[in-house]
Amino acid sequence: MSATFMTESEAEALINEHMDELMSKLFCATQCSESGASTGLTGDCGALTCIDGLCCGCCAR
Amino acid sequence: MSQLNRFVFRNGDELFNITNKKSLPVGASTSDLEQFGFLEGGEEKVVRDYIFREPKTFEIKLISTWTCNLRCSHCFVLHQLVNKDKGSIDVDKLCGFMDSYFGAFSKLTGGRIQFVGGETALTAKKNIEAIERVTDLCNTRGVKIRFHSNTNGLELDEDILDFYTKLSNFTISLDGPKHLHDAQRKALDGRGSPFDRTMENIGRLVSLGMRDKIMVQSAVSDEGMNKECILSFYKSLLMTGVKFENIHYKVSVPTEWHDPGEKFKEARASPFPVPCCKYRWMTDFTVCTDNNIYCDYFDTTEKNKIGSLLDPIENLATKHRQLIETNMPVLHDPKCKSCPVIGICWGNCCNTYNLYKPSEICDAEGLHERAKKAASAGKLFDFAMCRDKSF
Repeated sequence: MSATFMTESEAEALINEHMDELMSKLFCATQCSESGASTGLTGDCGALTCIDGLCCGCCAR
Repeated sequence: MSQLNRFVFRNGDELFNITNKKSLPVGASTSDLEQFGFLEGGEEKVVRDYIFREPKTFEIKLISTWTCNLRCSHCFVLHQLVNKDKGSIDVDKLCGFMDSYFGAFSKLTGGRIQFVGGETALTAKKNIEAIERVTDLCNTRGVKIRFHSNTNGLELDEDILDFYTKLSNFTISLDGPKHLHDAQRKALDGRGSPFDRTMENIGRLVSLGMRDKIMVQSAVSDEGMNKECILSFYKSLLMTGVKFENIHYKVSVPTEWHDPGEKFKEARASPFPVPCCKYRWMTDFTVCTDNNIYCDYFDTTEKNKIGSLLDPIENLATKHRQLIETNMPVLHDPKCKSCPVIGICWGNCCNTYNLYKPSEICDAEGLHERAKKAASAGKLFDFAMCRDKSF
């Protein structure tokens, strides 16, 4: 795991490594507005969409 | 001989009901098939049983205040915001309601309270009181409870720090790089750049040992949908100490989706596994500063009011059911009522698109085809729960 504060070059390397993934996750799987970032309603995991692609409101059930 | 109903798929070597998500062996007895809603004629009951099943978890959105120190162009509740909210959550009433709720639904094992607003940090002291009292109650009842809050991170004092300390985690809103954030977020006090102020406070929180609790979410405007903005945004946060996995760069409802068209129709071919948060019976509530309970965070008006925190729990349960029966679009749309994949659609989210006749913008055939492919591979459950997107 990275140190608490990344240097600029460390940050750039990490972001570029994950750029395609980040671009693909701009929207949630269900298009539910709860997971749409406008509400900011996130779950305990902190994710607007969890690893399964569901927002926390949906996942909770 | 009774026939299997339209919700049932042959999923590998079992039968799977896509509405109630139950499985039975292929050679299951007629009585089992009937009991678990697999036979023709039982469709409406299956839908009702699923929607009105006994809750096991809960989600309470606690609007601690409608006061906010920002006025953001993209805010979903901008019309509700005030400079000073005259109402506030009565913690005694909240605990009374929760005690009755736990007593009425014995299968409840855990849940979450989310502080929302308004700006929740402005009621930090009151929030702390609620957390302490509700935690004591949940411990007595054997219910696991977690607390979360959204905040714009604009202010930080001792009370706010104490509030954050008592949360499982909290989400700070930053809407992309500075130029995008400041374009849509305006501070009422006009002091400096909202982006810089929040970033400075994030740095303080990291230095105070709260790194693990800090989530950052962004409701980025269309202009932020590119790699340059993502790079700039993530870089500034990573260098401030926020964890990579805790940063969630999401686009607010894109302008092109405001008029639901082909893009939206495409989305409708993906599963939406559970009803919209407005229609989750006795599971999902919004408690407002008027000490009333609503089924919609976005619209706390009479039409969505379940009742008061002081009302008997039986009355609240009945009223909530009535509201869902009356307002849930798929229960009234004729096409939805005969749809085989309603159990992985549920009419989708009603808030974003004001979708009150779901079949007007619908790709049930596409969704059905994808479900059949997943079923033939024995992976219908994973598909239905959005866990397998390969079909």
